[in-house]
Amino acid sequence: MAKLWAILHKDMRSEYRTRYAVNSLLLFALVTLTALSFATAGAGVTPLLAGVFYWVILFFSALSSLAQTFIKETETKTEAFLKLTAPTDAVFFGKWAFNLLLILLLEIVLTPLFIVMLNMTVSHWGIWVGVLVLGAVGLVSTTTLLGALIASANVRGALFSVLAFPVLLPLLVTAIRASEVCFGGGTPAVIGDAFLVLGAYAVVATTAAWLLFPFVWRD
Amino acid sequence: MTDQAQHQLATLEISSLSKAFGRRVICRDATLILAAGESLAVVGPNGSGKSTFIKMLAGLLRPDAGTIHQRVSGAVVKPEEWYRHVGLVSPELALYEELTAIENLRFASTVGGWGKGSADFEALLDEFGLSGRGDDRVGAYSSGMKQRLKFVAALLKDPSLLLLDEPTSNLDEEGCERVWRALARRTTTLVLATNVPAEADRIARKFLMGPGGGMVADG
Repeated sequence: MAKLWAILHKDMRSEYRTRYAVNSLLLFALVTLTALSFATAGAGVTPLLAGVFYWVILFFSALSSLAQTFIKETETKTEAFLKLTAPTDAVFFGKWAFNLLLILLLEIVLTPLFIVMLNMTVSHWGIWVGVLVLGAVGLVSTTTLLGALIASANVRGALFSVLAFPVLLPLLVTAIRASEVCFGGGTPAVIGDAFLVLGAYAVVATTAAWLLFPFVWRD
Repeated sequence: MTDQAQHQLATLEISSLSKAFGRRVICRDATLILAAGESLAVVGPNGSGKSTFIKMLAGLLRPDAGTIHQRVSGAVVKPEEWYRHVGLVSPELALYEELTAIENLRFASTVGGWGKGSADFEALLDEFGLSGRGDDRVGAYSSGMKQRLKFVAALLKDPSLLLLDEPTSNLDEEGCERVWRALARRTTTLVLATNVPAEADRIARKFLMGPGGGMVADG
């Protein structure tokens, strides 16, 4: 646990001093939200459309920045230092925790702005928070592993998106459906199934990423 | 360190090691045993594959064929555990520039479980002429100071196997002297890659890398 915390603390301190990932994460989300807000001004945004907008912003923001934790290690040549210093599990869960903090920060900033700028109402706050947390865990587990995988590739950005999209599609569709209900639309009966899918996705994605990470990191 | 127990030193057993990048052969069928505490100079012109060879010994690069066994206390170390025993100074390795030297060393010690503290950091920084600069960010260091700090980080873990790739690059005369003094004070299994004849001449046993990339001779 101390080793995991050391990596998380190092990444947080490093991020605080460089704003390497957080700037691109927040800027992408805010610019996209502003563009959507202007584009839909005056027109009503349906609950389904609101769910789509929210998760598309979150998904592409995550793609733009979550892989940076590993790409930065490669670009600055600190990857070898980390590999010769830290156990694999500590690296994975340290990076995973850092990415989760980044996404939760984004959700905290994005959610109130989204509600205000698109004039939405959240009918079920408890469910909404659950969807956001479970969605974030699934998103982070997948992108952390893929970030490590593509860090050494030449065409990182394109490769990351191409690999992430099919893997994250079930999560994305389920989260959008659940969000539609939270925004007052859809069929509330789907919430139970949505939680089951999001929870299962989070557990499976985290376990699979943890088991596969040593092969990506050490080979 | 002079009081380092013999059983903590690594023995290297390299058998039929081959590596190529496309058609360019780095080494072919290389076989070598390096006893505990023994030193080896890997010599050859630029592009002959010295750095690649060092990366394979560090476990950072997988050979195409052949095996590398590292033994510590007589037992073969699993490849995924090599990082615990290897110290590396290389142009391919950098420390975190946004952190101070002390923060880098504390991070490495914590995450590596080395149990080193401020007194150890200060002693090593002093040994390499960096006393009083421990609280400066590494990004503010000159290239020579960064090279000295790499030695501090590599030696902090008391490595069983010390791998040096172009160890005196960027160092001034005083820095070079400090490095050789520090190495003379320690007993460790050492592999040094260099194309500086004076450095190679300090070590009796040599491993020659040919201009075509093949291994030429041992001895």
